[in-house]
Amino acid sequence: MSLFQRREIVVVLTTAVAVAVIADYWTTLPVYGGTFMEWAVILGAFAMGLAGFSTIRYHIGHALKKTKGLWVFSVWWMIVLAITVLTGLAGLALTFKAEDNPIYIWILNNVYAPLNIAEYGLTGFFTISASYRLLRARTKSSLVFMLVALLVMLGSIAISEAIWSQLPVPGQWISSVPGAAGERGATIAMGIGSVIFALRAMTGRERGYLPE
Amino acid sequence: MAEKEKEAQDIWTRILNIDVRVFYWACLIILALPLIFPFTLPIVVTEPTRAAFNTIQSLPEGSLVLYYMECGVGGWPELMGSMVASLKHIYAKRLKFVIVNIGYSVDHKLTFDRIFSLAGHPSARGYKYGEDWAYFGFASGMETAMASLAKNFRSVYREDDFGTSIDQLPIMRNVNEAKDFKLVLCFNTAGGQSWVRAHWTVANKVPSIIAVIGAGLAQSQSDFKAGMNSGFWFSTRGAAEYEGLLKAPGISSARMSALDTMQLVTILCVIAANFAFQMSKRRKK
Amino acid sequence: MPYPTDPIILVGIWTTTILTMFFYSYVLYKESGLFRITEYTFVASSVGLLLVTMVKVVIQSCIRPIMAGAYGYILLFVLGVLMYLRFSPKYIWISRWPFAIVVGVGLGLEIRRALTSDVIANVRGTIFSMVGKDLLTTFNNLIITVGVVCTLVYFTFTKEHIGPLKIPARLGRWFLLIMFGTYFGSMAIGRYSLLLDRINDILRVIGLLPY
Repeated sequence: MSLFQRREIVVVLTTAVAVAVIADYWTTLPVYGGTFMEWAVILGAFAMGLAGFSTIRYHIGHALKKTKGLWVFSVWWMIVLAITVLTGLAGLALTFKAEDNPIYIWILNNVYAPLNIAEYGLTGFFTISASYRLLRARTKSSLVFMLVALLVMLGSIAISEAIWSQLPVPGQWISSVPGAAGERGATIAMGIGSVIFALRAMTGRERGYLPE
Repeated sequence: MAEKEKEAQDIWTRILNIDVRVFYWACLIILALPLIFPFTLPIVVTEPTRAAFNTIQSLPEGSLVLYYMECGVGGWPELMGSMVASLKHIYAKRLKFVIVNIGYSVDHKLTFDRIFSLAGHPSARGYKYGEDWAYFGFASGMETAMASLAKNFRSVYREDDFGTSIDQLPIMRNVNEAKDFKLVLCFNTAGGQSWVRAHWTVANKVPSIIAVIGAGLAQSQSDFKAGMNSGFWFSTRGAAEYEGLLKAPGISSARMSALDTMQLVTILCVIAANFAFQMSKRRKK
Repeated sequence: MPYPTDPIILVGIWTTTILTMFFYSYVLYKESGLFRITEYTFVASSVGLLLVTMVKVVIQSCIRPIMAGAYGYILLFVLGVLMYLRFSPKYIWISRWPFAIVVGVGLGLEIRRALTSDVIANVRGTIFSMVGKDLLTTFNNLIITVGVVCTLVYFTFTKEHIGPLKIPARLGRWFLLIMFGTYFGSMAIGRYSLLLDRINDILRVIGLLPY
């Protein structure tokens, strides 16, 4: 295995870049941390396509293998993808503004955007069924959880203010005092955990980020 | 008697195990009815919304604001109200603004078009592109891009979204880093809030106002109390409060009746479920 | 706004409505081919949008500077393309180099952000805002301080929660429960807003609400 293939060299590079970015913030040394950040922004643009290409490989695989129950949908998936990408790239080629292609804009406005919101909207349905099934006072902990959730909900609706002006107060107090306290403690703990994880990655103990 | 008790027990168990599709259809109908038969209730303005309003209100005319759209189409239902209202406030105060999109969503152009269709295009308010406002579009890199933007604006954007070089835009003359901005408005669905907090507010002391989705309430309250934001708009409710302060009711105010009704029904469902659960437990004993 | 009469707009809004109804047939009825077709259509259009945006950003940030004479960006372009070698089992090791730069920057920023804003700013905010402008604010701030300390004790796993740590750890657990309850309660308005948006649009298209 050549030197460049060794994972240890890659970890050294990762650590060097991380140290440069940290030192750039706290010192005035010429460590080129800003340059590495600029590089990462541009490399991030290339990385955007990785997930897309992984998905394309997945669907091509199913279409070619004619996987039962999947291949028809995978073919449809690739047709829609092809139409979207080709119309978008045609717009880019003509004016460098993909949005100028009317077919591309039509797909985004009438297919992508509403279905995006609809997909997130499914969680609206699940909220009420989850509330009904989950928020039950089985133990002291679940009772507290349930009461807090109900009070916070009460605190954010105008109907409770109309019933009694002080009705929303407990919920608003809970979210702004004990809720905020728990959140702040968790944030500090997660911050310390993040630093520890980063140090572990920089010392080579965590290698999950390296393509295997 | 035992037969009747057995029957009653079945009722409580049946109530607890209602088919979920009943809830889904009820949800649909309960949300639709207040839209068809709307009613309005006064909304009390909470402290974070008032603080956000006062922060923008206190800016002198011509101050430069970073209008940071981190959200995509998925954030429209919760954040569009505050995006539109804040833009109307910017127009009223004659502030200058620069729009950027850095985050997980790549559908920025749709949001850009939608905001202006609801709030009015800047040109209709006497704003000149390049002098009073600019649009830089999407940049990849997420937190890295936000941190780079705070350090050196031109390291992320060399031209605006229409292909014009940044140096040809008068609004960007002498604007190089975070300290050149008077305020950041962050419309956040994922990580934007923590990036702005760390690299703009804490590192460079630039005040920020965050519009958060439902799950961001606790975090935003904690930051507000610690002075790490100058106010926030909590989902549709915060936007409705803000619209009330501006005396410009918009989409959020129009939807509060439906949301209020649905949340009230949820609370009643939970109470009913707990009542049935306790009755079911007693029967089993 | 009057109900649209333009055929293209009409086709658009009815396509939106029908696709949304197919999507929600999953919860309102059961999973079916209609739902799956709609789901696959959405995912395909999202990936298409992502790829087109990627091409645009690469041209803007890399290709155009090269064409303007900044030949240093050629190295970045090559590094970016090398990332795609992660799909090749034989040359996957080459893709580790550009990833090392991206991950290294991410780790550095992570440490910066975690230390300055997550830890130091929050600790400073907790300690220095203990005394408020009135008695109620001071009381609330004291609760926040106690809550933060107890939550941190709860997260200390290197020492067993016995003796002097027992009560603070238990209190910390209760504060975390309250935090999760707040999350659940505050999420409801968000989730219903998302659903409400689609219902509003459907009602407008079918004529039950003014367009």
